[in-house]
Amino acid sequence: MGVKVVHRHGDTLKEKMYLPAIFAGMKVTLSHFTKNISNINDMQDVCYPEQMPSDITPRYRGVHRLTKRADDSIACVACFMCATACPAECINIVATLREDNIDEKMPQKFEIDLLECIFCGYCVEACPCDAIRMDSGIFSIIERERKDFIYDKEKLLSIKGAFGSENSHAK
Amino acid sequence: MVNISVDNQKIEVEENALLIKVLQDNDVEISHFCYHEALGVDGNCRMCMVEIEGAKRPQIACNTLCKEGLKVHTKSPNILKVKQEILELELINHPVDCPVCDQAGECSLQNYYMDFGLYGSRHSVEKTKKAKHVDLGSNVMLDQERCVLCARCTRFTQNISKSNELFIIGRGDQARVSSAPNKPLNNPYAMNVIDLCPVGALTSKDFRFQQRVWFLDSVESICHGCSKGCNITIDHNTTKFDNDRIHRYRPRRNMAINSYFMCDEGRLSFHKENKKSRHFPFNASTLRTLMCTDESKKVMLANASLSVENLSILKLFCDKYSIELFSLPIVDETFGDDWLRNSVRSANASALEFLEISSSYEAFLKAAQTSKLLININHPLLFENIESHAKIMHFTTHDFEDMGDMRNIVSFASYSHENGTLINSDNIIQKFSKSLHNIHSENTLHHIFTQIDNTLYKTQETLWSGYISKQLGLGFSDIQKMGTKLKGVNNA
Repeated sequence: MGVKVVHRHGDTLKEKMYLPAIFAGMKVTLSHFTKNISNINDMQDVCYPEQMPSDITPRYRGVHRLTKRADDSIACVACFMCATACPAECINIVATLREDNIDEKMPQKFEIDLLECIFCGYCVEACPCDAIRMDSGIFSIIERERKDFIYDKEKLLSIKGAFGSENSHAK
Repeated sequence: MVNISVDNQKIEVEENALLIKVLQDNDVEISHFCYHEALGVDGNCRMCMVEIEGAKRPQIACNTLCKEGLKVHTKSPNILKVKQEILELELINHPVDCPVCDQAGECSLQNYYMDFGLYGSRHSVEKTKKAKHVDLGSNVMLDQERCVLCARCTRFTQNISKSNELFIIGRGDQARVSSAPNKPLNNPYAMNVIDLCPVGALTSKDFRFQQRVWFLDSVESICHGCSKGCNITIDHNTTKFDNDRIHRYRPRRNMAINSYFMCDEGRLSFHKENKKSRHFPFNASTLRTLMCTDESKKVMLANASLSVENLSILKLFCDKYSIELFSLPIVDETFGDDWLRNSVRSANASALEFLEISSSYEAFLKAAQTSKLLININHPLLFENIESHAKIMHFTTHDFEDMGDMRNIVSFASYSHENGTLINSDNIIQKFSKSLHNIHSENTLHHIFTQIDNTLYKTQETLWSGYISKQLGLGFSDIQKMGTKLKGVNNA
């Protein structure tokens, strides 16, 4: 079986030595440190939770949601790519035959255990149908019981995208 | 014998041997769709192109015979380019719906695309649409769009099952596999076309959407459906969310027994293995009192599908405590045919002779009339309550109807939970391996009876060296991977 070789960065001597990158990082850290220590009353902070963060960007990995197609049907085809990519094995999918003639396969059950999820975003990267996204902007998840942290298909479908683009862009 | 060279390596082969077979046997990767050892040469897919020195154009390896001094190149740049172009042609109207295709992960098209495809699409017009999910009958689903028209399935129904249900109809981009109207796929070996199909055109309705194949663990085993002993691969897995379960049986190549095939009934017999039996733990001292200390007459009836090891341990146990041991093979005359289905439905019926276990029905009935205790080792005859005044002690792998007094039931591991050997109807002894790991795996019959009597052979190895090898005339390590033919009982 063939293997597609993906070339990664980090081949040069400078990158292999690591030290230049470490010093570059330390430079940023130390500049913040000196800036803050010289002006301790003007430090940037947020009094969470009274004050909510305002810098959640579209790239922020919030709670997952399942997208829909333009015809309002579920975009997921239960291909298990997200479950395969998931390092925490927190996605439980049971596939079934899709009866509405839009596609062949759909999830009968799609559950994400948010207590086990490490919010790495691999599921979003792996999805060939743009069916799972983490653009809900929700960073704080509060439930009363452990079992409530397992979000099922209906719950994941009901979460709205926070940054405008609502439906799946898959062709 | 002639000498040929493949990618500058010298190979000695039979004269006029098929080049593609030689390449496969020597582990040279050769892409192909239509060639199959059991179906022979068709030469329609052109994927097995190789460069032959002296020939003007690339040649197909499946229709080339080996001659002295043949020089073959399978990986030259020209060949890779030719293969890429053929693949591009195959994929022009392919729907590329791998996410919903059950074949993904074991699909030749996917593999070859990754090997020497990797081109961008140059296709700008609409793809040809064909039927997406046609139920062909016998659990076979057809997707005409994914088909590469290799004709393996039609050749199987024409040449092997000889039932002629499938054809390729239409021409050009309208060519597609189809069955005749109102004539569904209907033969006892129909599901083999699913394994034969190199792509996702034919998929199993039974396995459809159950699991992705890369999650499955494969274990080599033997089908227990009849005494033919077809070699199979058990595909099972445990997930975080589900217990260890078998998802499918696939036939495994063994040219001496089943070639590449198996019957549908055997293929679907895993559903019975998956059925949960309740766990009835055993109490060794109670069983010891019941079976070993009592002086009254006792009769044991063992299922003839038990492995050689299990039958041996029962035989040793019964001899020691003068229990009369019988094993009645189950015979179903309507099941057998002249190919892979054998009328004797007990997988290990041939072992009874080697282990000197009586299989006489009359003798059993006679003994059962006068016995005080009947010990049933998973034999269906006694689940149906034959007329007897004796107390019945059941050892069972699966729940049965009318279980009655549950105190007299002990559950034990069925064949997918343990290692063992079977002797098939042609006296070929074969090994099978443990696949399932669950609550029943511990309670093998061997474990139960060695707990009842500590002096019996504790492990399968000591049992083999101490007893079975003498009965069969060969040791455990003498059994070949594809089975070893035993000499008859009289010659042993």
